[in-house]
Amino acid sequence: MKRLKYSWVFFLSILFVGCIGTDIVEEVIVDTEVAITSRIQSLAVGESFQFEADFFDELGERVSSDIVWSSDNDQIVSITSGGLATAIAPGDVIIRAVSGAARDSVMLTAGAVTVFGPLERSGNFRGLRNYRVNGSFTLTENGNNLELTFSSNFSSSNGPGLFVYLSNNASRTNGGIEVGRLQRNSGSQTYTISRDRAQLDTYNHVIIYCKPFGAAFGTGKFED
Amino acid sequence: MKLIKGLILTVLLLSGTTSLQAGGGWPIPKGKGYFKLGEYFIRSNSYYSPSGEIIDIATASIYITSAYLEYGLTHRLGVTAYVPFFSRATLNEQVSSNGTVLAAGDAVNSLGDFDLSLKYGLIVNKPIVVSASLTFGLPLGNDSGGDTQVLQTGDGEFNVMLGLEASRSFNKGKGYVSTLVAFNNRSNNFSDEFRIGIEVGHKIGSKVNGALKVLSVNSLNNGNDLETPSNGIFSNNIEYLAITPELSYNLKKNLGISGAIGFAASGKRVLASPSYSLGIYMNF
Repeated sequence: MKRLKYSWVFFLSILFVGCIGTDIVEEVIVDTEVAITSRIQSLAVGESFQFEADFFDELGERVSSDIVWSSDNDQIVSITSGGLATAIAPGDVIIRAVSGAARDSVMLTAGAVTVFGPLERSGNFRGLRNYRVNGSFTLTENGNNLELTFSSNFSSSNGPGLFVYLSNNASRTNGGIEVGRLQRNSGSQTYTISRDRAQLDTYNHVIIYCKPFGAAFGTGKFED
Repeated sequence: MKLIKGLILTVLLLSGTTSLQAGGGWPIPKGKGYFKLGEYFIRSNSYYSPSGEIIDIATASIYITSAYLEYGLTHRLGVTAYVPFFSRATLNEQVSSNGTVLAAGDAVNSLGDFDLSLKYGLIVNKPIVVSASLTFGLPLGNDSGGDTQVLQTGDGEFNVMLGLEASRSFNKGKGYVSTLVAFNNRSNNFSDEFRIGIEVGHKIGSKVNGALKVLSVNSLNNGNDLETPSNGIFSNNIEYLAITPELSYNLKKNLGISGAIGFAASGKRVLASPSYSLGIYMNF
């Protein structure tokens, strides 16, 4: 009987082991990055345009930073160090944005009219580690918001706590933004994102992410 | 995320019966019984993904306090009950190295999924004995618990498992070997399972018994992955090859304690760390 009593003490002591612990998540260091977010393709001679870009630090976080702009031919398009470009004469130039070791560039045509690129990007999902995630998605500008739409052919393996992220890494959410809880495992669905949080070109990947366990189920890269 | 270091093995204890029944192919003698109070726990920060690859995850834990009972109704027919009367699942909080809380921890306490079984001796009093078992898995656990609603102490599905066990003793009754084949029919879009297992045991001295259990669980992949969980120890389409050494020590003629560590050579959709089981048992 005495042994039985001690056994209860033993089992109860085991229960207390079951406390919620703490995991220290080590930061992943990545290269700093500059991403030009303006989607202009052509600028009319005589007109000006303010370029925009985002800077991502070594933790992948989008932070403010001094970005220096330049043109490879100031006789065609001149640009201030703050990014205000003016078309001088017809021709093609490369516009560069630099912050420290990070840089990005786009081609700009100076011509008769100002032309912006399409305000839409799209891509296709693929599963990771044999999780099934399929279908296509589009990201469009709509006033002050972006709209991320999964098409009717979207489907994903089920799992606890699945969320949608925009990120610049194919499988990690560091530095990305949480768009919202996955609305359903299949079919068309739309998520609204304030343009205060991201621009059309800020992020390059959409991730389906099991947030509680920190595992990516699927990913898709914008193809344009 | 933490790096995976060293040998990482897996484990499991699922809602369905996971190891060979105590007694193997031998039916429970009429009027006799076996009772065990057990504690099972696993704590893991790694996980076998559906491809079988080990990946890092937030540390998840399961603690199950259970009672297990066998009783012989006749010389051929017996009943068994696995009653996890207290199950606790936890998820660690996630804190970045600079102290920022990335995700709060979570926990849920509830009953677990019960198993009730009937076991019938098909071939008795022969060198090789065979029995059949019918197990009902009752989904009394919580399949969506905690603040995050992602913690589970059960799979939320009712299952029926038909098993066949064969056993024989050797070395003048000091040792035994048992084999198992079973088909687990699961509901709620979960895939059915085919299980095979073998258990070898032997006396070690006068008071100690040792056993080695090997169990292979294979999904038939005939469920619907879109409708069932696929990232937890109660997931759909779980597969594993578990190897569980166990030692028991007889304190008295009818009273003893046992301990086991569960490993696995491979797995899919299961936590990838050793599990531990402790128990105190009595025969009556």
